[in-house]
Amino acid sequence: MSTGVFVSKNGRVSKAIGIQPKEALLFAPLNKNSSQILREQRTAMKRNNKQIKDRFAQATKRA
Amino acid sequence: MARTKIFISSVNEDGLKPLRRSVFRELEALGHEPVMWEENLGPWPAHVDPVIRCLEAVEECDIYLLFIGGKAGTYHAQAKRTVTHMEFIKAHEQEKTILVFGDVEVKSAFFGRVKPILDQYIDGFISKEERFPTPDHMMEMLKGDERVPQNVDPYVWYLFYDMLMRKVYIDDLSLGVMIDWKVYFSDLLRRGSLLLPLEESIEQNAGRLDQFDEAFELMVGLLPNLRISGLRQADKFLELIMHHLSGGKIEQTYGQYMSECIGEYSDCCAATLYELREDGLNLVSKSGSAASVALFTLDDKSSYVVLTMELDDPGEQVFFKEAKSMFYHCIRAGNYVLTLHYPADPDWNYKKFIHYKESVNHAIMSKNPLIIEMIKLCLGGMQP
Repeated sequence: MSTGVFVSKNGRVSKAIGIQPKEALLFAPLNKNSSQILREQRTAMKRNNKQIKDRFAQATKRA
Repeated sequence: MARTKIFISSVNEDGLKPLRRSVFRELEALGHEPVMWEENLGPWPAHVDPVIRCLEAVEECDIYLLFIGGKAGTYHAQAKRTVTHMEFIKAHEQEKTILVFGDVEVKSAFFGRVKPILDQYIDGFISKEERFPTPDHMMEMLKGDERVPQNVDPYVWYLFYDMLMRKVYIDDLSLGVMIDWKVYFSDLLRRGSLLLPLEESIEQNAGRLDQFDEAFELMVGLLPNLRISGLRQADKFLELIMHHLSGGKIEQTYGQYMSECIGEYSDCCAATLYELREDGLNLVSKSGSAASVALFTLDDKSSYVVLTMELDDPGEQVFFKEAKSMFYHCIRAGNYVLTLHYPADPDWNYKKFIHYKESVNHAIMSKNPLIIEMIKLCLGGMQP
């Protein structure tokens, strides 16, 4: 589905252009789904975790 | 024993030269290892790129110390940043301890006069262009505004603004007044001393986090290999899910560091579960305050449940209905469609949704994707 906002009105789906009634059901295609977001969050979490460990190793190392 | 390596950064302007020299000497006398271009860093042979070498030196330091006066220094046209600014960005990106001192008069002019002008300009730019202005845009505007002090390079204002966005504190620098470095470094020692004894706990937590992540990875592999025969108590299943999903803020981001809260949504107040059978989508169960329709035929395009069933993979969508002041997060897994209902703030209407659609999607989808993934795995594993 292309970008923009879509509306479901009277049983038909179309691009949401102009004034929309309050009963209209609006939606916009997602850039990312929850699986992709989760993958990104897990990657960031692993990176942060490693950085914390590395920093502590550096901080407690005696030259 | 290793000593603290401190990178001293500033524009090489006349007013700051004596300060740089005296800071270098004092830090050295205190037993630290200061690093500064004119003392022990440069110059280098012609084939060495001085910018790269400076950035490497920032990377090697423990503390990045920056003095800002009224001059911006060398502007690197390709990077659209000054060399000093690039050094600061490198230190920030490397998560170094950063100490910034700004000339007290320049700083006061920034907060008193320039920042309000910049704030107003940026707000106007964003509402017109729906993006954050570039440094060139900001400098061009500042050059043409007579309320802005002209004895300071416009780039310096942008540098101050960038630091604010990155939440970096700028300390006062009064030329001729010595900075008490002993006090500064004593405070840093205090902060480090509070954290260092927690090493073991933090390492344990980091290890546990890795274990949890590994267990999740295993579950992602195991669940699709199971045949789940059905829901024992569908209402309980939905209720448990519902009570684990909280509301939150909806934020619009402009670039990497700037964001504003544009609204909120409340905790999940209802959930419905539909199953695809021959006659259409049948209600399996509901929880909370959801109105329920027993059956949706597949040609009923007014239903978010039907629309979600027809989506391409991965079958997930956020819907909004102004009449109900509600966001609906619909998730398709196997033959099921789960809908989670989140009440929207009363000021959400169709215009606001259209304007901030990406922010709404992102706020709801990224709140707890781990829970959503687990639900998808459970429902996806159920066999008819």
